Amino acid sequence: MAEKKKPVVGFFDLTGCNGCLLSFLFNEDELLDLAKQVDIVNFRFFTEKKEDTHFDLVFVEGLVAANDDLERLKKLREKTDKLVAFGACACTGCVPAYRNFIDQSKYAYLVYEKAKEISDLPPQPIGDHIKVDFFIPGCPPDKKQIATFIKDILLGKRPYDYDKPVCFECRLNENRCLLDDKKMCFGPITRGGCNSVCTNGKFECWGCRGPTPDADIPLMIRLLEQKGFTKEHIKQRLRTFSGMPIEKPQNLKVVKPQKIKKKEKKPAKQPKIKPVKVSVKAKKKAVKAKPAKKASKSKNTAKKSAKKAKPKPKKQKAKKTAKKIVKKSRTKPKKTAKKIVKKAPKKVQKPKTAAKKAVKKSSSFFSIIKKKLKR
Amino acid sequence: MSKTIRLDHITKIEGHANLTLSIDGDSIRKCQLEAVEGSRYFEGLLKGRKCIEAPELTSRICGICSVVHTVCSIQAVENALGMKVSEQTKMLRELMVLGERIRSHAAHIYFLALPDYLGFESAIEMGATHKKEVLTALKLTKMGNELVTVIGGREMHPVSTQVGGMTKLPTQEQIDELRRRLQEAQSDAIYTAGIFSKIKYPQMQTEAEFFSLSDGMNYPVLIGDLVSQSNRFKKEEYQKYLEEYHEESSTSNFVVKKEKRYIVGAIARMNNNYRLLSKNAKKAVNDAKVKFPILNPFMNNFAQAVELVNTIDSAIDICRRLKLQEEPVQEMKFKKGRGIAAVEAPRGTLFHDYEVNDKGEITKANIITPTCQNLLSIQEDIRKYLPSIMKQGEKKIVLEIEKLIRSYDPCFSCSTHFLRVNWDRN
Repeated sequence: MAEKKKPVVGFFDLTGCNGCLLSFLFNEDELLDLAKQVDIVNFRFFTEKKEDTHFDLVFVEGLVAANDDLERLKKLREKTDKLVAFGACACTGCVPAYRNFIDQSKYAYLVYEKAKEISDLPPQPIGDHIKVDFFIPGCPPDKKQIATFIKDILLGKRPYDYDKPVCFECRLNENRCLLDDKKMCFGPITRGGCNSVCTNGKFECWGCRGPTPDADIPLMIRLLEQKGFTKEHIKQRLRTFSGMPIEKPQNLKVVKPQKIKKKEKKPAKQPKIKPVKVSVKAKKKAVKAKPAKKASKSKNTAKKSAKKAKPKPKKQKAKKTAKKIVKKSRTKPKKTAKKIVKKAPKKVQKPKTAAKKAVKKSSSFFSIIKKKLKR
Repeated sequence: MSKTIRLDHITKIEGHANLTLSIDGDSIRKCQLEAVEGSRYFEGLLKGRKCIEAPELTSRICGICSVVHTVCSIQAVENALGMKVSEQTKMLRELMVLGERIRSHAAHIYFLALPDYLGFESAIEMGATHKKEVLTALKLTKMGNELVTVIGGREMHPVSTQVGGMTKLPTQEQIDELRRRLQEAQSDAIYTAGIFSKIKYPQMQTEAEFFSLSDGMNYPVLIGDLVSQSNRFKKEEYQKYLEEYHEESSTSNFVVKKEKRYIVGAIARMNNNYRLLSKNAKKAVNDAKVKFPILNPFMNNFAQAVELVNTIDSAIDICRRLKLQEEPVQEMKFKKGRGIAAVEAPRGTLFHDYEVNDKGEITKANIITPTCQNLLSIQEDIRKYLPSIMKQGEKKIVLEIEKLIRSYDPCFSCSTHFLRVNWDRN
């Protein structure tokens, strides 16, 4: 009887480095106990694939970068109650999605001339394609954080969503401030929860866990410029993990977690977890429509130009807007900053009218940010 | 009677790969191994970035061997800038790479390879009856992790090792504690070598050459020239000897040595350096009555088990020699140059090659990972092995092939971060 109650858990990986899966495995001491509590049906390092069963909880590592990834992901979503974006690649795109920011000519020579035969997609976090229930950020996620997450889920608790900056933990760990040492540390604007592991090793924070809800990124850029870094370098660094929008982020949408059903007899749950059916093409259209309508209304909207739209011209546009904002914040930084925060929720609503489909689809916080990122 | 076997998303390996087999009666029509992991173009991402940022970026190529990517990248940048780091830094880096080798080998041979040989579908199933094996594996991975964590700051993507030195040193007490723990773990490693010497490996001989680093003094980790049974060349000349090419359906490159396939990894390191093995490791080899060179690719698992013993001995030796002193990280002066580094990753020799301009930005990068070098050998060895198992049922054939693939310990995440470099054209 006891066996039936065990939630069915799967660990899957798309394009990525397998590091997050490994990070889970590194809980050597708790691993066997955890394995007793759940029924791990799929884990690449352990067991043969069984993708056909129904899952209560699925961890997805990696990002969508090949057509195959997308198909697998969508199928997975259909069979899953709760889907977790596991690690920075799945949450924001991490280093592989940094490719979206660089000029194609830089890597064009790496593309084989018969590239058409290879199903290559622009690298995107999974939240851009499907609905994600939970995010576990970090490159890699802290192993204790993963164990705690699973324990919370098993207890039916809401997993703790850490939203204080890295500086908070860094101070608790009594580290010397790396900004004082003239290092480009993003601790003040980056979500903590990692026990400030990088700064403990006197290595500056690169922002792999994405921004805090109240991060003032333009201010951070200005501060670092005063320390003598060039704006180009700062932006390059901010984009490395693809999770840092260079202007204000939206307030985080905390997804309401639900208890895992202790009885698994409800296969009829499927309608709720419907995968988003909007095709990439439709999204492209929707996205293209947005900036055109809004550009005249407010300067903020240009940022929404989503990544999938033609990259080059929009990059330039967006850069200009970014500059405007930075200039503004120079004159009266605090007020503008606050205004943007207040405006934030509106921003989410606006595109709904312009392109309902696209917004429904991009239900996650990260995907909203992602759109703004493309500059 | 012709049949086609497709193995999609082969499990119990790192990353994604497919294999297509087409068999017509007794002859093999097609045997093709494809990496299907999405491309990540790491070399492209590196262009235009400051060279000191390269280690942080390249460590994301692979979570399993992130340490070795970091260290290799650091060495390449240091070579490009003409920097020399202290002995202490070198020792700490080596210790960290050894830690990664311990955890990688332990995880691979116990969790991925052993279930095949004991007839279990997975390590989870194996755990029910073979608890001691699973616990030993966990202990060894933990040991390796601890080495990496103490020196690098965390288990993966180490933070405190940078271009020019270590940003944060462990304390002498931590090193002594590590040494004590390593001595305890030695018995686990010897036990492991015992298990893997008793396994009956399928019989087969590969025709490939075995390549690894070797400096003639110590078992290779961070330094040395590239050697094989019949060849020797410096790492700076790798482009003269090794050539990359691309198969249409794969997102990974194949690397060959002058159109001939070769093998890197534990088996190659051991074949080229067996005289340098530690006492305990030599004893493990003698107990198993194995003679060098080992030509059976299945025996790579045994080589990994013996390397575990050897690696722990080397790590103990380094811990004994380490007398830590505070050292500042070296200041760096950017200048134009090219830096090539070759390091022995758990799976074989890894190359990082950067060209840096006078602003310290990377203008060209090339990375060759171990699995790229092994891909062709895996494919060809499958072709060679197939006739001997052809008469068995399809399920058995698939299992045997998977066994062979896994014995190479391939890592497809690593191998698919680029597609093709047009050396012949440029």
